[in-house]
Amino acid sequence: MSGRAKLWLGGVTLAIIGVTVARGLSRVPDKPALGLAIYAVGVLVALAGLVVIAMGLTRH
Amino acid sequence: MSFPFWEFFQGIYTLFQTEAAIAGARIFLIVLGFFLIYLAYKRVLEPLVMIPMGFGMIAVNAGVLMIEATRTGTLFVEPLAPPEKLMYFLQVDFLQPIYTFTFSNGLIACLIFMGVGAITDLDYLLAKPVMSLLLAVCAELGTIATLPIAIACGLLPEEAAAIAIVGGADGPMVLYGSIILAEHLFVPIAVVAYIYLSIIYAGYPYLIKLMIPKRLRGIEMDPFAMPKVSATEKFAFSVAACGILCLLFPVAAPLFVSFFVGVAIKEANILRFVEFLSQPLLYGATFFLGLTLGALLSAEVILNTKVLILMLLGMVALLLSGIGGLAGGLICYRLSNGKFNPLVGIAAVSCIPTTAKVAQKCAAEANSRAMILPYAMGPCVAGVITSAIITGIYVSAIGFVKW
Repeated sequence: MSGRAKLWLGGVTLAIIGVTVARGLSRVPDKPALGLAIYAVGVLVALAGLVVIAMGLTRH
Repeated sequence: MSFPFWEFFQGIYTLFQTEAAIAGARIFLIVLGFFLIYLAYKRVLEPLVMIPMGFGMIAVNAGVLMIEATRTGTLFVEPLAPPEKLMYFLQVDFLQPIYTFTFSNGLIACLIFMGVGAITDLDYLLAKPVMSLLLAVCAELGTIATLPIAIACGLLPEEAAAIAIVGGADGPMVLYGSIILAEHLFVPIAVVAYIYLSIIYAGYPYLIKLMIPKRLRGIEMDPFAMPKVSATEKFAFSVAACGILCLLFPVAAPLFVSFFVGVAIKEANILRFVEFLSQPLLYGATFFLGLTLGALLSAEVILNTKVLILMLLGMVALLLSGIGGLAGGLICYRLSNGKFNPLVGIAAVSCIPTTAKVAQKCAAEANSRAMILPYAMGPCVAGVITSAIITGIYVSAIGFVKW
């Protein structure tokens, strides 16, 4: 597998994990503060995935 | 029987039929409208929005008439029309159809975003994604820090979030966020935002000169050193980014899809759609945005006690974002061992492409050979995306906390 494909796959995986955490897991805890923290972590992971995808695009 | 001479001139007659504060505010807004038009004509303010807005302000405050025996009104727009009377206002007020069908549902923001997407080039963002996003996050300082400041000033969390979004320096985002979060403050927040955004070009150079020494402002960056990004790659990224961001922030999905569909159509080289989105749609929406915003700015709106706080907070938000962006630029300068021009940071405040042009203008003033515009466009585009993300977070998270 090429480095570019690895970055694409890694980015998409990170994004899926991030979206699942932000949209799904953040609703599990009863405390809003904890839910908000999990939501923030999920958003950051998903956005990191987007950056990794962008890095994969420009790798030739 | 006396002849009701003055009643023929209802614009003047109504000045004497209302409270002194309302009459004074009307006269102030008429004068302010003339002043905005003058500054826009002189290109001190952004003419695309400010000229129609100034006309709207003058007309709505001058053209007041007696709607009923004791009630004054205008034939422009009724922003808080109750549903059972909506058909009446749609038939009477000439801007009501535009307001009801494009403002109150955020469509106007989405139309502008489609046009912005169609003129946006993702080259620089994709060539330097980490640097662009790092700077864009730094330049959201105003959007993030203004929220607690506004709450401390006595605003409700939704109102505080709506005014904090001004720090993102993106008009469509402010419209969209304030309609969802604080509809009752939508008009003052939108007007404050557009006035401040239109003076960014004149104001930020002073902040730059205050924070960045001339030696650093003139650092040269090689515009040909960037990796090339193909149209296919940009198209693929726009589709992937749209999908991921819509999954993350469904509440801001209309903004994301509008922006990225514009980008995708440009990269797919569908020329007729590109021309339509970037010319009649973008400029038509901008024109009616300015005119309708001006027509919404009646005397009753500025007599709201929260308007002064909103004006101060809007200024604080944009100032902090500028400081954050330049601080990010200085961090990148350190990380690159002095090869990076810190002025690129101001472009991350977004307000595409104004801030990128400010960065280039200030760099060229310090060193006529400094060409940083290509580098500045990356953070500028990233700033649009991070502003939309923070708007999405505010709309989702504030509802989340309440829930």
